[in-house]
Formats: sequence, structure tokens, C-alpha cells
Amino acid sequence: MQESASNTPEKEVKVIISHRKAVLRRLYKNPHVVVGATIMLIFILMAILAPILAPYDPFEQVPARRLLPPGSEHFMGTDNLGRDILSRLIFGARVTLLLSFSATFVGGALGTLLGLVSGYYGGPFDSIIMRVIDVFLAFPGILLALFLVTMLGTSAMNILIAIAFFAVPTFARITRGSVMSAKKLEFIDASRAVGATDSRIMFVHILPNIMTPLIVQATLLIATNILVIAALSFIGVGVQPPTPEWGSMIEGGREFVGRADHIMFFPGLFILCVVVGINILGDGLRDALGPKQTK
Amino acid sequence: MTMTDGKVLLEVNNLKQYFPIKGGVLGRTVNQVKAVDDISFVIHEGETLSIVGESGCGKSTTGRSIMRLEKPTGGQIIYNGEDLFALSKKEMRRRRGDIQIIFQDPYASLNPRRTVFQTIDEAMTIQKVGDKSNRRQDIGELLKTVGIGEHQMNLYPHQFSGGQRQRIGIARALSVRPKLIICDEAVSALDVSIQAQVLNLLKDLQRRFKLTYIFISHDLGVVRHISDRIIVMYLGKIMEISDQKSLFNNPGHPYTYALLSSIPSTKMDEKKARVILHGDVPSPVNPPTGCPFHTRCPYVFDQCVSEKPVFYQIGENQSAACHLLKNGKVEFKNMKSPG
Repeated sequence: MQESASNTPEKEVKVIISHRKAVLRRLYKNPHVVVGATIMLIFILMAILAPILAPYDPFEQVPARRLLPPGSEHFMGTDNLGRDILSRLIFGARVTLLLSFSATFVGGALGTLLGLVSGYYGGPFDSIIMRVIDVFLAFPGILLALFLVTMLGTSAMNILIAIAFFAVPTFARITRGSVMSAKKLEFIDASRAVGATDSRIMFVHILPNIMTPLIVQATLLIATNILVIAALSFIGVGVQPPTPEWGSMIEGGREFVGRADHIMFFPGLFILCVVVGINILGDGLRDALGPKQTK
Repeated sequence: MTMTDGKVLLEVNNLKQYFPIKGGVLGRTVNQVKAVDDISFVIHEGETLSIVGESGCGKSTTGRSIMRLEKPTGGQIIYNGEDLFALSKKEMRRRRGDIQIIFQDPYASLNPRRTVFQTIDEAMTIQKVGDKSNRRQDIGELLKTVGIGEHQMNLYPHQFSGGQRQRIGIARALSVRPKLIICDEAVSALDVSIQAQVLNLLKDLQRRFKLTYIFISHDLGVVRHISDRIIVMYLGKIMEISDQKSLFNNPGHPYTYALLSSIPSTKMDEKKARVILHGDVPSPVNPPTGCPFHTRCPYVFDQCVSEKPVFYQIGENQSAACHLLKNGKVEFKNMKSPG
């Protein structure tokens, strides 16, 4: 009994806080996390504050001001219909971020659920699910999304479904693997021994302990999804004009290459920045959060 | 101390626990590991029954099967006149409060993301023990009982030492007011000084709450200290069941004798005839015919290879499965161990 440390209650509160602090500190001490998160924050703020930040109406067409190069009045120039590119890019962040975040969330949640159940119960159910997932993993994601969108028709909802769909297999695989190793831990047996139900064990005991790889994967997937959305819009099956979307903006500038390169250049730059930003963040999270948890 | 005349609390009948070995593309069962192969014993109220044996002999699996943490292959576990193996999953969950388990690794047996309070509260809520409004006091009391400060209940497992974590594991087991606690190598992962503290705590708790223990260990020193009766297992089978005194003073089975002779002695002048067993433990996938111990037994003869030995009663509370015993008890000390 001597080994029980005689912490005073005040001390103990401090310990808990310092534990949470330790996780946070590891996050903000990691330069990748800081840089990536800052870039993401800028884009997210831009999307939220779009109506305040945008200097012009993104839909307003001014025929007299077509194809203006970047200048003092139009910082990034105008497109072939005389719309302000900066304003369209700022509003386009809304579409892109909303779609890619929600698709990742929906697909990730579904895949996680599937992987959780499959890895926990194992057996024939697991085998069937995993074979089906192998088939989907064999397709390139964009091909799958393209196929679904052409089948379902091009609306924001259908694009979301298509992209979410392609997140499911990856998440299911990652979750299943983590569950299979986590379910062998003794505390799982311990909670089964006190009578915890299967769903309680899965959601209360296993899931919180395998979140790290899932968070990292989700971050990286958001980046992929931004590219997929842009690609779908570029080939004309994604977000439909006149809704400002970065991919379709690039497509709109395709005809004017050589005459007005800025129409393609700036949306491309935005896509590049946001994707690089998320990837840096994802790499940072992976280093800061895992694979070894704090003891 | 022996309470072998007490009421029977739990009866294990012909328990079998096989694990399938999957192979091939289709994942068919190609073979089986016979981790526990047809064992039977009873445990009496208030006693400490130890299960000893080498690693892989099935002692832990026996404990886990009794808890129904594994899907049973065969046999019966009779508790309160009910066969636990015949219960549905739901019925079994409700009975789990009666039998609890303490695990070997205190670093793996607590969920790192949950505080001590959350961990114990979960157990009590599921088994509907006590009043929800008194939960904090109840858990505080319980923690004090096992030697953890009341004010530490909101801490996370990583903020405790190994010994403290094991105490928390004990508190969790106790929280649902069990009758039987299975201690699965409960002190093996602890330092020797902490081992003694935890063993004493277990003994105290046994007296206070009238607990029955199944104590699974490979450490004969610890077993000698805590047990009333002892089961010796080898390759998934029981070799000997005996009360503590008879087993240590007068082992009935050559395997027990070999095990005991491996305990290091502190007496310099005492010359011990040590029995060295040769070879490895055979695979539980293809256990030897006849007596499972015949491949390594110094006293092996023809019958051992061909015929499974039955249990011979060789003392009031002692029986062993060995062909040598058919004409009564054998003094191994007088037999020379063949090199």
C-alpha cells in the first residue's frame, strides 16, 4: 500500500491538465502541424467569410471587362465572361471545402463502421466484406467516382455520394486492421468479463483507441477529394457552372491559354496550396499522434 | 486453512477447449490445438485452488473458458446448478457479476482512455451494483480497500505504477461483488516486493468478502504461499489434484515431482536430487498417445505409451493420473532418476 502516491487533490487536477497539455504541446511543437493547420485555417476562414472578403459578386458578368489581366482593380484579373476571378475563387472555397469535408466524413464514418464490425466479429461476414472491398480498392478512385456521377447525374449531392463511396474501402481496411489488434488487448476481455455488450466494447473501448490512424487518413483523404472534385468539374461532370468551383474554373480558362493564362493559373494555385497544406498537416499529425501513444 | 469440506461452488466437467488452425485459400479448419483436453474438477466455497504448469499447458485457457471468454468446445461449467455453457449470450452477461477475472498484464488490462472512475463505474452500472447516486462514495471506498487513494479516481491508467494498476484491476473485479475470482497470473508481471503486497491484499480480501479464488500461476513459490489445493496441468490435461501440503511434501505424479525439484532452494547443505526433464513439451496439436507426459517421463514403461492413465486416489485429498500408482502411492524420492 506504500506505493500509492499521496497526491493531494489539487496536484491531481494539475496532472490531468498537464496530460492534455502534453498532447497539445506535441501538436504545436510539430512544425508540419503548425504550417499545415495555418494554411487550412486560412482557407476555412476564407470560405466562411467569403461574402465579406470577396471584392465583387462572383456571378456578376461584366462584358466590358472580359479577360482583364491581373491588375489593381481586379487583383487576379477577370475571366472570359468578365467575372472577378478572386471573388470566384473565394466563393469556390466554400463548395470545395464543404464537399470534400462532408464526403470524407460520411465515407469515413461508413467505412469505419464497416471495418469495426467486420474486424470485431470476423468469420464469414468479415471475409465477404473484405473481398468486396478488395474489388473496390482495385479501381482507381476517380474512375469509380466518374462512373457513379455519370450514373446518378451531376448534382452536389451525387458528387458527395460518389466521393464518399470511394472513401469507404480505405477506411474499412484501416479500421479492420486496427480493430483486430486492439480486440486482443486484455482490457477488452476485462470489459467483456463484467458483461459489456459487443456494441459497447466496439464503440466505447475499441474505437477511441484506434482513432489516430483514422484521423490521419481522413486528413489525407480530404486532400485527395479536393483533387477529385476539381477533376470531375474539369471534365464537366462535377459542380456545374455558373457555381464557382476551382476545377470548373480551370476548365473555363482552357480555351484562353496563351491569351489569358491567369484564368487557369490562379485556381490551379489555390488547389495546389490547399492540397499541399492538408498533406503537410496530415504528415504532421501522423508524426505527432502516433504510432506510439503516450504511456 | 484447508476448506476442502466446504460446499461446491463451481464444477468443471470434461472441459474441452480446442482452437482451430485455419489453412488454405478457403480458410478451412485443417487442425486443432487442444489447449484444454477433457479436464474435470470442482472448486469449493472459500478455498484457493491453484492451477500450475509450464507455459502452454492450458492453465490460462482453463480460466478463460470458465469465464466464457472463449467459445467453448465442449464440457460443462456448473455454477449454482446451472450450466454456464448452456446460457445464451444475454443470460451469461447477467451472470458475469458472480465470476470475475484479474489479468496478468496491468499495462494492458485497463483502457488507457478511461479514468479509474469510468472503468469501475462501467462494471457497476452494467451489473447494476449499488445505487447510482452513491457511485462516487462506493468507488472511493472500494479504492481505499485495495490501497488506492480516493482522490485518485479521476486519473488515467498511465498515471499509475504497475502495482497500482493491478490494484485497480482488482477493484474492478471486486466492484461487481463476485463469489469467484480467477487470478490469471495476477502477480507474475509485478516486482517481487509488489508481488508480496498484492498477494497479501488478495488474502485479506478473501477473508473479508469470503471470496473463492482460482489462482493460475507458473510460480510454485507463490502457489505454495496462497493455495489450499493445487491442480497440476501438462499439455491440456490434469496430472495431479492435491491439497497444498501433500503436493509439496509428497508429490503423487512424476511430473509434479520434476516441477517441484526445479524450485531453487536457499539451503546450501541440502543436496537435492534434481530431476531434469529432457526434450520439449510435445505439440498440443498432436499430443502423444497414452499418457501425455510419457515422452519426457523418467519412469516411462510400455503401458504409458499405449494407455491413458486414470486418476488414482492416493491420499485423502490427493489423486494423480499415472500408471505407477495402480498399486498405491509411490515415493519418488527413493527412485533414482534415470539420466
